[in-house]
Amino acid sequence: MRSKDVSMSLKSSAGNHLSKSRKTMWEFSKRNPAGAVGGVILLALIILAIFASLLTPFAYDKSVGSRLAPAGSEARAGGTMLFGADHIGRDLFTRTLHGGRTSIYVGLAAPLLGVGIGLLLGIASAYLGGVFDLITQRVVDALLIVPGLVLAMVITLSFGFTLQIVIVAISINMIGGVSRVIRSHALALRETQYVEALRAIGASDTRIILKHLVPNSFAPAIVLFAVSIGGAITTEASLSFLGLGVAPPRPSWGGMLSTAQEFFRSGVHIVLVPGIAIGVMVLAVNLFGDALRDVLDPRLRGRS
Amino acid sequence: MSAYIIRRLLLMIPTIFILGTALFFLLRVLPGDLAVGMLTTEESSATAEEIEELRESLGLNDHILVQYFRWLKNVLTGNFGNSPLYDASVVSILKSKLGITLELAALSVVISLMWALPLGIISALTRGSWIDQTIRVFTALGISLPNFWVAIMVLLALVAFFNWSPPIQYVHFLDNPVENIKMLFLPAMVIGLRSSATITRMTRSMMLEVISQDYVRTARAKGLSPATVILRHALPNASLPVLTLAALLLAALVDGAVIIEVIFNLPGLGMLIRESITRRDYELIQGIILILAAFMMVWILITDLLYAWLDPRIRYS
Repeated sequence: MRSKDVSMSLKSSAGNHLSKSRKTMWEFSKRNPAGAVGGVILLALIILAIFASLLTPFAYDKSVGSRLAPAGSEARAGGTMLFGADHIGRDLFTRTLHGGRTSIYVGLAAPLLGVGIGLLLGIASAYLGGVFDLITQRVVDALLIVPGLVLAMVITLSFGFTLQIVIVAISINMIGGVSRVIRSHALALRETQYVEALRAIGASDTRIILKHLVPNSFAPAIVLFAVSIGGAITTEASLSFLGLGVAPPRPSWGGMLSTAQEFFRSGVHIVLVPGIAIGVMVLAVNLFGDALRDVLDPRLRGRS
Repeated sequence: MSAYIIRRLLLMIPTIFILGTALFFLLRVLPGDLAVGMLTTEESSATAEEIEELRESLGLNDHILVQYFRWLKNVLTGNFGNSPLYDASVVSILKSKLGITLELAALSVVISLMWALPLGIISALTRGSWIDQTIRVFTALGISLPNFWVAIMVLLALVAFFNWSPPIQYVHFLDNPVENIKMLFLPAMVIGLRSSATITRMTRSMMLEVISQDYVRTARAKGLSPATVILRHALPNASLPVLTLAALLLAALVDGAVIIEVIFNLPGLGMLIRESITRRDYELIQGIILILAAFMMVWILITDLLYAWLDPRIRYS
């Protein structure tokens, strides 16, 4: 027992030269190596997506080389096409980077919107109770019983194939699940003694909700956010694969896969690249999200 | 218990009503005219009179609320309308396409359980070993890789390495069971990929929890063979929580079917959904979604009740 304590303190003193936030990251990485790797990959992908235009000399919507040129070939005006060209001659690397932009944007914005609305709805439902709760829960149930992809397809069909609509369509899928989890969490919070004390001293409902219930629901909300990113990215890719996602010429990995189907005999790379890109991004996000959940969950249990 | 069931059933009514109403108005938000869309083809376009005639016959000229109540009355009598594109009632179209997807679903579930449960058990029992690590890598990939990409790669491999070409005609099970299974096996596996990975993970973590329980120690102490301990005592308790995923799995199945059926060219429910949406057949879209949703609600209730029945610790007030 004793020697374990000593060795543990020795290990933790190894990070003593780091600042506090770096230390937290160091400890997180030690305990969740997979999550740390996922987080690093995710960060790298985000940076690649933000600086997409700077990283390649080519435009994503103009033909710059011969069609279906293999990886590493030369473009007509010079410069190498790292991943080769697609069936129109556009540089695949550039399109992949810009498609990554779409995926990351949707992958972060949709869960943010969905979890945000679900959070407010869940807390309001739990705290206000009564008729509001009854009606809200029926609406949430109605959302939950429709298969997610189908609902998103109907929404983009009804309102247009823009980036914003796709984000809204995907976020609506999440509102149901999130609000149910937050609602049961908030219901448990409502019964705690400190909320009872707050009401006893006369705090108004709004104050209790905004200043106490919401901050204490952040932990499950953050976890829900992290684990929904992968699903959002996959749904966006599925939507554009079916032709019901963001409209061209804005590239999306799903759309790229869809058009690549016809031409795979002449060039495997156009099928491999978008698919692997999606897989890597979703994998990284999932690893990170799982690790985040492991970290935040025990703390959750400690609170209630 | 029966009070609980009745309450659940009663709550379903407003839910499905809200869904139906929302769908009805959502689909009529669209600009563009159904009649125009129907009559305008590549070869010909319609005169103003023809369009007007069609609008009258479809009842599109009435006030939106009149249309709504008409639709409501129809649905309550089981009439989900007619699909203008397929020129048949929604219900009959659904019935004809349902079989393939149901078969896909059944196959998918069987295949998934066949390899997800054993892998989860093995992964738990050999925790930390390279076998466990490999299985965990596979499950991570299974959840992350988009299923339509896996489907395309599978098709690619089949064409490239086995000189296979996609069958043009769907072969019914009763006509030729072997051909039928051959056609549906790979799509079923791909559809079930993500769900299988999730089940494997859940089985693994539940097994790990269960193995450390006292009653398993007792079973081992009694001298029971490892197989008996695992299969008769640990596994039933470990796999029960998988039932809580049942609703999610069904939703994943439908979503998967929409894409995979399109890729493998199978004329089932998924392809029907996709066709009806891209061709803007509102009656059909509405009808399909409503019927699917109603089915999902009943499914959730059944799995909840099943879970309560199987686990005596769970009792609904």
